[in-house]
Amino acid sequence: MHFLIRKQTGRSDREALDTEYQGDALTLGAADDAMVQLAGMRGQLRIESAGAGDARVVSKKTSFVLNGESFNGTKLKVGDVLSSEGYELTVIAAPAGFDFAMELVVSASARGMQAGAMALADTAWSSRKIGWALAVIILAAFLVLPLAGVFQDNLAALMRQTPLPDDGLWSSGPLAAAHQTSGIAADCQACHQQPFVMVEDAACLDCHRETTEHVDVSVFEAHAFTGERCASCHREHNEPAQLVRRDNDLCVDCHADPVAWQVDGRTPMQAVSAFTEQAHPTFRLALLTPKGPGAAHGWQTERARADNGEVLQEQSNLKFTHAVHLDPDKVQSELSGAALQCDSCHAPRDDGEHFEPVTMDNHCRSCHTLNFDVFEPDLELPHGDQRAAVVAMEAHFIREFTDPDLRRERASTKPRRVPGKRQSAATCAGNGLDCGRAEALKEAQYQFAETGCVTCHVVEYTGLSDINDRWFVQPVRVIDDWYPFSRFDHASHRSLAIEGSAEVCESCHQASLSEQSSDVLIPGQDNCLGCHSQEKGFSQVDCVSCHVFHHDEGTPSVLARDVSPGHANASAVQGGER
Amino acid sequence: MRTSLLAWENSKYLRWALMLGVASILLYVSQMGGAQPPNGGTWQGYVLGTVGALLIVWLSVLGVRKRRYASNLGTVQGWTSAHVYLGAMLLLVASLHCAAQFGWNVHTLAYALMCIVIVSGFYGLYAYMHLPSRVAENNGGRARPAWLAELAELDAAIHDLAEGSDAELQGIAISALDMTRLGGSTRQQLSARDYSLVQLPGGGRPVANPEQTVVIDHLSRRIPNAQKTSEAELLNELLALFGRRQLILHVLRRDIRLQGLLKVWLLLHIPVTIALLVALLIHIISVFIYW
Repeated sequence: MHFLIRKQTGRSDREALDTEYQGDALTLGAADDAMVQLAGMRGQLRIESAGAGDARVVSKKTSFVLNGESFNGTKLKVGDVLSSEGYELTVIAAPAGFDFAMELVVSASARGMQAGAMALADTAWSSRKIGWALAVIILAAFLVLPLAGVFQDNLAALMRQTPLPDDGLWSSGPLAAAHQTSGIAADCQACHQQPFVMVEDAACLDCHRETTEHVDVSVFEAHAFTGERCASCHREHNEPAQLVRRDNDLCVDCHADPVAWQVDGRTPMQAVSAFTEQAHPTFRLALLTPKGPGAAHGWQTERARADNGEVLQEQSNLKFTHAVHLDPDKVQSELSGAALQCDSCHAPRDDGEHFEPVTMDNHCRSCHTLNFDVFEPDLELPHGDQRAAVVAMEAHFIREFTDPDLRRERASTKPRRVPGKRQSAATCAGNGLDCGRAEALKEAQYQFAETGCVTCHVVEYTGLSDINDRWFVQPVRVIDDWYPFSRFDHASHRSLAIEGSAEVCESCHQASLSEQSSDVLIPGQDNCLGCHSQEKGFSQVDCVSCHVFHHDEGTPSVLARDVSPGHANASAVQGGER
Repeated sequence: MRTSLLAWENSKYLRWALMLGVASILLYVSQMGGAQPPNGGTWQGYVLGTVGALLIVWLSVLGVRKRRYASNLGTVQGWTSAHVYLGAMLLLVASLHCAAQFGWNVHTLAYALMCIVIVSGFYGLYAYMHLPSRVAENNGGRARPAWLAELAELDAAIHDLAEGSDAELQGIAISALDMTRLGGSTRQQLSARDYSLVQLPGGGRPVANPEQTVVIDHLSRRIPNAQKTSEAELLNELLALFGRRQLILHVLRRDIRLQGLLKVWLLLHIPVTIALLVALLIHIISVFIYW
């Protein structure tokens, strides 16, 4: 089709500018690809052939009206007027050679539209609108929806399972690894049970039922701990995660001046403000002491400090010298023939701090056999039961002297003499019972008073006539926990190893120099301060490196703290004067 | 402008901000080796957070103060100087408050929004310090309406001349006027790219006429071919007018761009400030809901 656009240009109606266009359709608008440019127009007008020389007009989002009415795809006839926003298009009779012609009048207002907006305020979104939109989105996603979940458990569960915003958006940081577990990790309300109320102890004690208080609240004043919640010290959501307080203030705020906490009748606590020679009291060893003669009333643990150069001594009733046993020339392993090492007798327990008990059967008997009759060297006395040992000797010798065959055999055999062993009598003139008893008494005398039991044990001679009561073997007890109020990790100190396990142990426990079993081989604080003093720069330790807060002696927290849900004072240790 | 904003009263607020910064660092350091790692929940963290929140609210009030011309509460310049220095220091205060603990949560959202506001503010400061001189340089001492008025006079003169010329010349000259584009969308304003078109003789679609070069080329090519002296004179006259028009349009486009650059950062600074205030409120509320 051939289109003619006659544009009125001048100030008079007679002057016009004709432009001809050729194509399937004529497009008019403000877009760059519009054939007839109508600056500032929205959308596009399209005039296309309707066959038989007719044309129809299609409006694509324009504000044009056809003869004052809306239209679309309407056929145009001469005299029709399309008008909008300062533009007026009138269909005129097509001159020769043209299929369609229109006259375009551009009003002055439209002419000025060549200039678009010249200020951002006219084109950009209003700052306030964007601001309010953002505000509403943030308010909905980060407050309204999660808050709805706080009051509607079902909604909270739904939101947590879907990408919808949930109260996890309020989390101020990841949980410690121990709490990254089902039932806690995703459910904020497992701990935060009431809005605007700090996490209560009941939430912690729900799982941590074994936890004890720092002290026995029936002995020490509980009000010192009133108001301290579990979460006062155990803070979650931190990076790096630090559930356990490691600062000295945890202890020092009270123990720097412990007089105020002193309880009558208990050993006064000493002040501590840091782990240095001056600021930390001398370590207090636990020493076992027998109560009553022969520990008749058991053993008691006494705590003692080696202050003022005092040398503490252990009272285990055992005769033993580490020096001899560690001397390769004097003692060798029965099995390998090699010198004894520390671990020949001392096996660490799983806690890394303590050791399995050293026992006669496991560690001594291979060398220190309890045989008592050279005719029967395989026969040994029972250990640990004095009466059973006496009975065993009596039974053995009575049998020997009452059995005629056995007497004949013993009379004819002259056993090899064993050094350090008594040569028991081969013959006896009296009857079997008397001979047996007499021989048993001689052997008992030998075992209890000369060699045998008395090698390792303290044996008292009572002077009583009864063989069962004539000697008393003092019971032996070695303390298991030398420092009951501190922790120590032997494993981490293996780094002291230079060569051989003996040297690692000896760097703290100087066993090969110890001649007496009463020597205390447990190092004092000087040994620790060398590396761990808080005055020195390397390998410093804090209070909780060695000491625990929740002592076993403390009152169980579930009892000390009211854990009934919703209780007004649920977070406090129950106060009260002692 | 440059000296008065940053050096206002001998950089009084720079000193304030530096004191605030030093105090914040000391407060932060005092958390080290404490009961818990540095974070927003220690008393030092609460202090830093409270200072930060009050700063945010106070800094936001600048927008209100600016509109209160009758206010006697300090000068707008003083407020702006304090706004700049304390706003920059807020970045440190808030970072120390959160102790660089970040996550996918409303707390980090508030921090991120705050960073956007502050960084856009830095751009704004740059714009306010450097662009006004460039605007003045570009405008050559005349304001935009004066340039627009001259452009309108030029266009009228071109119209008058074109009407007396042949149809081809008339078509190209008048279409060049009609299809000149100035300003437009936000992007077009900021890019200062010329989207003008011109309708060349022989129909077809209009072609691009950046900086009026196509019409000027056309006019200058026609001058040697002029049949008559009057035609050559007309062409010369039109050429001169379009040359001036080219310059004015260029000045206007640059002016629109520079004025836009002076304002565009506010499209981020202001809405994100509103979003930040909401996020800050939620940050504070949520911390205490799940205390």
